[in-house]
Amino acid sequence: MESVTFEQPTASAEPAQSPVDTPPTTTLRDSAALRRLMEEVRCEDMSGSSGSMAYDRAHNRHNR
Amino acid sequence: MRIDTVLLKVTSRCNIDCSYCYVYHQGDTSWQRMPKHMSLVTVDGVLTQLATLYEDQQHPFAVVLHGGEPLLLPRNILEALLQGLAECLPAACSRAIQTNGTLIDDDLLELCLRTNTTLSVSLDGPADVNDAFRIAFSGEGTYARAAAGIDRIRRHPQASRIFTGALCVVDPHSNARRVYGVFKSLGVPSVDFLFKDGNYAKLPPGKSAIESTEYGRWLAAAWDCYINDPDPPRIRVLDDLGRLLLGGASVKEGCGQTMYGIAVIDTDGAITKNDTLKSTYDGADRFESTWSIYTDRLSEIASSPEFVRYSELQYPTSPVCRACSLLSVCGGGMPLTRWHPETGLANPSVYCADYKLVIGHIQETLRNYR
Repeated sequence: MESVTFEQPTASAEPAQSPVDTPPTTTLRDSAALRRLMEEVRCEDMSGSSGSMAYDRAHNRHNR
Repeated sequence: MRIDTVLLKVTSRCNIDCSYCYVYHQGDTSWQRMPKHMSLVTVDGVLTQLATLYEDQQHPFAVVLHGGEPLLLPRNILEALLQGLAECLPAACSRAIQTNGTLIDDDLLELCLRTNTTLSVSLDGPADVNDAFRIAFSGEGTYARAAAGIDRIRRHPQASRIFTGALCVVDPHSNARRVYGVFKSLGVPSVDFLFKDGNYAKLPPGKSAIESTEYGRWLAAAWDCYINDPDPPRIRVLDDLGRLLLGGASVKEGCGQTMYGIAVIDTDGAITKNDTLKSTYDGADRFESTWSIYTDRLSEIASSPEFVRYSELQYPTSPVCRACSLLSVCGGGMPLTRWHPETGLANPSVYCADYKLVIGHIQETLRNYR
């Protein structure tokens, strides 16, 4: 995995911030969550379908 | 239309009284006319219908026990339902209970294990955040009881087979880092952060204006915690948004543009629309046709024009949404958040500005990551 740098994101017109504390500028060499997501998308590409992932309930599309 | 999810409203009552609940506090009154819980006769009818649905569509679907509080269902009926589901459906049809966590006991855990049923617990964060909204009828907060329920599941030797995660309804004025930290400390394997229900007639609690971004900023802060966590749990909504931005697919309604087949069976056996529509106006989750598990076949209902029209509500019809470059990610949000008393659902979500903010925030992270 390449080393990556996270900068303080400011993607939209309004700065993204926590209502309580804005996280400081962070430098990361890696992100477990992003690695996992990218791997899942790669697997989707190979299988041609979206799996149910390891969430709470397979096939459950209701978000409550 | 294929059914992906069958929500069983096994009880119409709850043992706690969350102030934001779409079942009891958003204007819908149908719960007052419903049987308090499913009877054994209705359970028999449900089992027959679900077995037939699987035969007809030959594709798995999820069955979720919901309420009210589903664990108010008398234990003998719950046992008959879960045992029946385990016997009449293949393992690929997942069975889950969405509970407030206050009524979990060891016998329930054994029943879940025996019937391959999972538990997800609703909790809104640390005690001070949770207890501002999720309160008992006595007025006391419910955090301690729900956290004890989670602890009881986690102490079970086979907890990983039973416990799937938590649902957290966001208080945008809470500290996202603290909320994230509580779920980490409770050892919750997955969390779904949900925005509170609201629409153009009644803005969601904590949102000051249509253009305001309290929820978007909160979720962006949660995203920052998530991507910096060396051992992150699953955060469903963030994963869905991230995967969609990476060119993948979402797994639940409210994000992306996949149309899902969601059917609800009420305590009397009536078949209704997505129950979240209750938050718009009284009776919004009712079909014009009066369908019931006693008289109608689920696969035939699912292929009827009325059911297809209902499912298509998931597609936003507002020209603003149709022209928006982010539509493939936000999907227009939950239909209930698009509702206006004069224009119906033909509007952007009241959370449009929040979605733009958080999606932009995630996009920026991904740009830097690549």
